[in-house]
Amino acid sequence: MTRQDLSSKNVQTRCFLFRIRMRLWAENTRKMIRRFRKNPSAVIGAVIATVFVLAAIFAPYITPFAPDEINLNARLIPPSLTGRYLMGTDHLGRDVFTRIIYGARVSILVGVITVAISTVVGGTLGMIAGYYGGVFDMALSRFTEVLLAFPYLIFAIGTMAMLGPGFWNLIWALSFKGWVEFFRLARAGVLSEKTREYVEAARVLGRSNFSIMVSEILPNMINPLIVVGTLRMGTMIVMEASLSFLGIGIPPGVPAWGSMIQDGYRFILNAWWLSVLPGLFLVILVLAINLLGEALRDVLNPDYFHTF
Amino acid sequence: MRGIRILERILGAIPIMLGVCIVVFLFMRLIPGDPVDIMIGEGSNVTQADIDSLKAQFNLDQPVHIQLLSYLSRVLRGDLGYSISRADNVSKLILQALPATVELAIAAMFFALLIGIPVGVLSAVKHNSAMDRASTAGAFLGISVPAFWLGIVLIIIFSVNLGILPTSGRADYGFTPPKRTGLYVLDSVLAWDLAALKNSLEHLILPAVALGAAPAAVITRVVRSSMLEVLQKDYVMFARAKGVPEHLVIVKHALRNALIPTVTVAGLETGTLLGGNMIVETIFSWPGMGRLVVDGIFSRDYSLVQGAVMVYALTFVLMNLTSDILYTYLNPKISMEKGS
Repeated sequence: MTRQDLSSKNVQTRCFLFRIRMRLWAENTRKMIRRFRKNPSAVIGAVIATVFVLAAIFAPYITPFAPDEINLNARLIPPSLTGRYLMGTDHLGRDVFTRIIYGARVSILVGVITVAISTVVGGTLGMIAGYYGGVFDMALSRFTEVLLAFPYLIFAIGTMAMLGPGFWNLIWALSFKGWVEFFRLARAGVLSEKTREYVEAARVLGRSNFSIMVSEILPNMINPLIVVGTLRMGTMIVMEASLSFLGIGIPPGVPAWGSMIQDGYRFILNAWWLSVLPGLFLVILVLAINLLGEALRDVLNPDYFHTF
Repeated sequence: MRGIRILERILGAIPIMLGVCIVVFLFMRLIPGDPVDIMIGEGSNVTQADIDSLKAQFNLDQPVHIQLLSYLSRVLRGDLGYSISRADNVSKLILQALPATVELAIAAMFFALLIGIPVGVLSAVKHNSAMDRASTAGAFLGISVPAFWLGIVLIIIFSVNLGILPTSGRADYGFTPPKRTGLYVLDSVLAWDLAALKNSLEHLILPAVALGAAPAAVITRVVRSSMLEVLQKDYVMFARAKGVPEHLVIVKHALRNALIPTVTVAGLETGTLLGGNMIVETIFSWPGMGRLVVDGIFSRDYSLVQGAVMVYALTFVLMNLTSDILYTYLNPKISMEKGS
């Protein structure tokens, strides 16, 4: 056999292996989708979360008001199903429902962006640390232990106190500790997978470290990252609302649920809806995300005996 | 064997505490702008000599590693700096605020255990019943509801509408018990002042519930799942076969073992308590550390914020250490594993 034949054979084998891999993957995905659809809490969570996302995107088409439209003739009108203001107005006559929908934008964006940054940074660093070990692993692991010693909200409050309010400052403050959990998950995942036979086999076949990490190990350890990532979106949203409630999150002026609750808190004696309603939407969204995350845990690891 | 393990844990916590101090120090260094400029403020008449003397006073004219060392040595001596906004030592302010925070945290944890353990046990014993489903749903709600919103809803229901509980503070004017421990409930019991006891309990209930709801949910879940696991064990079956009454099986044989993981979780949940406490203290005007930090942020009093964040983090490390040590004591398996 010539060198040419060998390489063409090699290509054939690779194509064959690739087809098998794709077929397995497709079958797995189909199974997962089936399990997902059978799981009522997964469906409920997904539907509610989708409604929130759509409402946030199409906010201007849903409501006739602008979020900062002041109408001093219509101050503190209580909610009514038949009136002009479904969820009432605040002390400046702004429509509460409108501000809630626009506030969803901030919450969802903060949740998605911080979790994206945290998973990518933490996951990548964790995989590298777990795979190569050594000084890099030790230094990063010690550093994450120190970061874990800070209660999350306190760390975020401390950071925001230094940075000052702002959307991106908030993202950085939350991500700066957020990656730690994903780092530890990814590191633990790699450590338990890297001694398995399939990794050895890939190494014998002469695959590069990068290709082993990305196409062999990653698919086998990504499920916990997906589950925790989903759940953390809820945590981040609550964290953002807490910081905005304290007045050190989203700058005043931008409608956000936390700052709406704070504003309404001053009128707690005569206008309950100002702080109760934005919080209610916050609770519903976080509840939906938690349902989705828990359901994903069941769907992705059916054998897993789940605690919380 | 246990002793060695516990010593290992304690020694392991020291570098973490050191790391915490370094991170907090770096926080201070990363503030945009010079600390001295912030101290002086804008538009005041100061000479360069004043600035230099201030810098020398706070070691800011030294290289960073020298500053770090001097900072660490000051922290070791309990000196957390000087609060500009309150014109007092940060350590003294924190010590004054600490009893209020501790009292609230204990009350919240008490509430969490009071709800979490019985509900968790009941839903494990009546697995898959309506009661179990309800408790699962309740626990789900508990971890999804942010403490500040729950606090506001509680105020609206119990203070504004029903008017049975106060909205803010630790005690009404004239009901403050004589100071011994700084914990009002304990102090009023010690002084046998029942009016003060009633008053301080009334002030404590709403914030404790708002703060304790999330840990209560987590503890319910942990107790439930570890009870479910323990109830499958051979020794539980043996106890039943022996004819031990069911309630004794549950309390003496199962619950005692199921509580071991709960201890760890309760320790970890203090992190949630510490974080939530800032928010809850703000809502209920509770004069504790959380209020101190929030006020510090708004008056740009960085040394106050820095000192308090450090105390929070060190408390968290200590609580984790304590729950670790307790776990070692409670779990007979650990000493047996090492011993064999």
